[in-house]
Amino acid sequence: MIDIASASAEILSEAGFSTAIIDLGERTGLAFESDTVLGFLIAYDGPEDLLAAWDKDAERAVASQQFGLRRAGQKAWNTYMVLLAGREADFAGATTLGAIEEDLVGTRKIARAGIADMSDLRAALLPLLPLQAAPMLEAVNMPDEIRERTTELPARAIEAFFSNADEAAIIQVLEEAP
Amino acid sequence: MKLAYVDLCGFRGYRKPIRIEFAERFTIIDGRNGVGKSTIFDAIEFALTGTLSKYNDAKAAGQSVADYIWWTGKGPSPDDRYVDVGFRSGDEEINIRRTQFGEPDPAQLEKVAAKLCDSALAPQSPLKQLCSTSIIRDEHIASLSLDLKETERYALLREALGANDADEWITKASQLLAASKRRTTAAQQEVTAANNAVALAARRIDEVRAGLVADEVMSEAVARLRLFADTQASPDKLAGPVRESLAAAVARVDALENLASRWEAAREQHLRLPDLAKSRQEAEEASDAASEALETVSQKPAAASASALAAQARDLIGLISLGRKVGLQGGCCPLCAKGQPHEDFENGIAVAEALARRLDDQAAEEAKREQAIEAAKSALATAQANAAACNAAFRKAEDFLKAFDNDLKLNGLAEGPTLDEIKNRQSELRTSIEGARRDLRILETLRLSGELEKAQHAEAEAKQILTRTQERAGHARRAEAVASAIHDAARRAASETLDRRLDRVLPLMAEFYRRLRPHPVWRDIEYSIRGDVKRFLKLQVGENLNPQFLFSSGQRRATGLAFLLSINVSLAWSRWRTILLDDPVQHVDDFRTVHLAEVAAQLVAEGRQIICAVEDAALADLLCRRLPVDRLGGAKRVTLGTDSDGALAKLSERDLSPMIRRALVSQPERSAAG
Repeated sequence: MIDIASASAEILSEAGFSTAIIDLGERTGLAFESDTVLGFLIAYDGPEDLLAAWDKDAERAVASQQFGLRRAGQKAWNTYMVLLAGREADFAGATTLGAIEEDLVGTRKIARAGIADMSDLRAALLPLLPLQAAPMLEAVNMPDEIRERTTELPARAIEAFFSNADEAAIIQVLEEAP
Repeated sequence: MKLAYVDLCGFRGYRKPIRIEFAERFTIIDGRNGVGKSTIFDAIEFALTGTLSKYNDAKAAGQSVADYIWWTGKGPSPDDRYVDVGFRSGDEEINIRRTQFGEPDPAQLEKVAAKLCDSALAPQSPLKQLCSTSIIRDEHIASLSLDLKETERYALLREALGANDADEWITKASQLLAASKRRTTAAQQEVTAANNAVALAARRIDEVRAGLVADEVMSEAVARLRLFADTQASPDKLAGPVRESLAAAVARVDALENLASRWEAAREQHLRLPDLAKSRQEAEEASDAASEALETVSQKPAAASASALAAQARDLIGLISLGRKVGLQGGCCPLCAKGQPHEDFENGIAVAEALARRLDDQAAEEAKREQAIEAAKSALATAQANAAACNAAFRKAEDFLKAFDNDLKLNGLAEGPTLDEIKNRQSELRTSIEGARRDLRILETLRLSGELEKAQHAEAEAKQILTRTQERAGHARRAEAVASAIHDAARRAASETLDRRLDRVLPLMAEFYRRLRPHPVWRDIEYSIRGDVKRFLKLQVGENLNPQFLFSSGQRRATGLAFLLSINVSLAWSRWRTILLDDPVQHVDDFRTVHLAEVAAQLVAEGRQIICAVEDAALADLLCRRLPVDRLGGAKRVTLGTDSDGALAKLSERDLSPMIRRALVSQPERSAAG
């Protein structure tokens, strides 16, 4: 199991977010903010803890940062409430977590359970993170690729194939002994 | 390259000129149905390609979209009909303009294409491809992604990843392989023909050898033939004399046949000959006797003939009758006038009458003798005829026998052979002929030796040809093997490099799916490529479930968006950094719309230009808030509608301001953990 709050702070910082620990009374939370969005991350041991306390914790978080939110103006519309639990949720718990996420009132909520490692955490925070996969496909030198796959063949034959020689001339080279 | 502006007039539903300047980062366009949001995207595609692909060349009642490109509505005519689209790259701006009757300058179009595409990687018709992957229209989100056949989906992704010259090399290798196969086939046919020729030559040798005889058999045959033809000619000159002798022997056989057929007649004639001789003797004797008899009868020739004597007698009687009747005339005889006495007269008459009787007797006697002579003559003639006939019969038989005997002699037979002797002789001759003919056939096999040499020569030549054709076939097979290996390598190179690239793109597709979260349960999707010849891009969720048949309309649309966005972002050959989303959230719920906004925000953060048209103003607000604005003018909101004339128009255009950078967490505290 990972320390969700500190690991989240690390990941979000890498993504350009500013983060800060906030006190929520019974537990601490993580405030984060980028140029476009801001939000709070609250970590729980298990999904049952999350389901039991998330709404009050969310209220506390918002209340504790009300001045900042007010200062944020339009940006406050892009407030995230990230609720993460370390243990896996059962089907009912997962369904309830899904319902929390789909509730768009007030904040955009991310509610996930089963955050056991950094991979799980990155998957949960994905909406806040830049594109993870960014393929940069370079050009393919097909003659070189073909050459790599024809090393057992006579070099002259391969060069003839890649030359501009007409078909008959190429076949003549192919027919010749290696 | 990003879009700078769209300027159009008299295009589709726009009668009046309208110009929309696009912000560098994103532009959100909103407006109710029918206010020309999609037309903005149409204008961009039309400027680049000269057509609108979303209608798929549909035709109805003889009309097509081409009839509706330019303004056809009611009311006043537009001042002009044109589409002008501008692109910006840094400080450089370049535009394409199409009018109702004017195509863009090809050089300008080529320049734009070169700016938008990497020509080394771009596929065929790159601008059409670019539009199809960069302009993501509501109506195509599902049809161009989830509802595509797996092969079409693979092809779309392959094209997106960039055409390379793999197909050209594969085609060249394929043609080379086909040509080398043709040569192999031709060479193999030559080998088959040469093999057949060798076999034919070998068979000919066998045939000739089968006709040849042993040397001792030949020498014996030659000896016999020499004997037969009575010659000492050399074997190669023996056939002529043998044939002549054969002809003669055959003639002798025929002659013997003739003799045999005459033998019975000869025997009969031989038996008859003594009788014939005797008959001839007797006939001759009879003839001689008849001759003597005639001579005898004819020895006392008469003074006169019987008829003359009889005539004398008749004349004398008449004279006597007349003298008696007349009597003495004057004492003188009436006949001689000599005087005489009556008595004398009477005596003279009596003497005359006696003389007449004597003459008559003499006439009768003479007639009798004449009859005997005639009879003797007749008997002589008959005897002579009989003698002649007997003589002729004898001669005939004698001649027949002489001829027969002569033929016997000619055929080397002694006189008086039996029929069996003749037939035996004939049989011997026939046997001799058959033997000679048999030996002649053996003799004729001498020329087969020459035939054998010819056949052996032909076989040697055929084998040489076979060797050469085998060599050519070997070369052809080697060329085919090399060509096949090259073809295989080209295909593998194309397939493996593509798979390599796909492997790098598939995580992005999966990530877009996770970000858009079409389905609450199946949060991950698997993209897999299968098939060796035909390639398939398969999408599946859960345990091998096909989302195409599982997801709702909105979920399919969200999945499709993930696919199409990943295609666009993966475009290796595209230098166009703009993604145009035409009402992408139809049928998509608010929750997933937020996901799309988040994805769009990340794309903008990555440097993409997003131009998104939506119907709902609240959604436009959400997008404007959620997508990052780095500076005033970096993003824009445009509202379309109708002006006071009822014409489509831009109702508002507003530059969006950046948000406060930090309101909640101060920037110095970037990392609570650190």
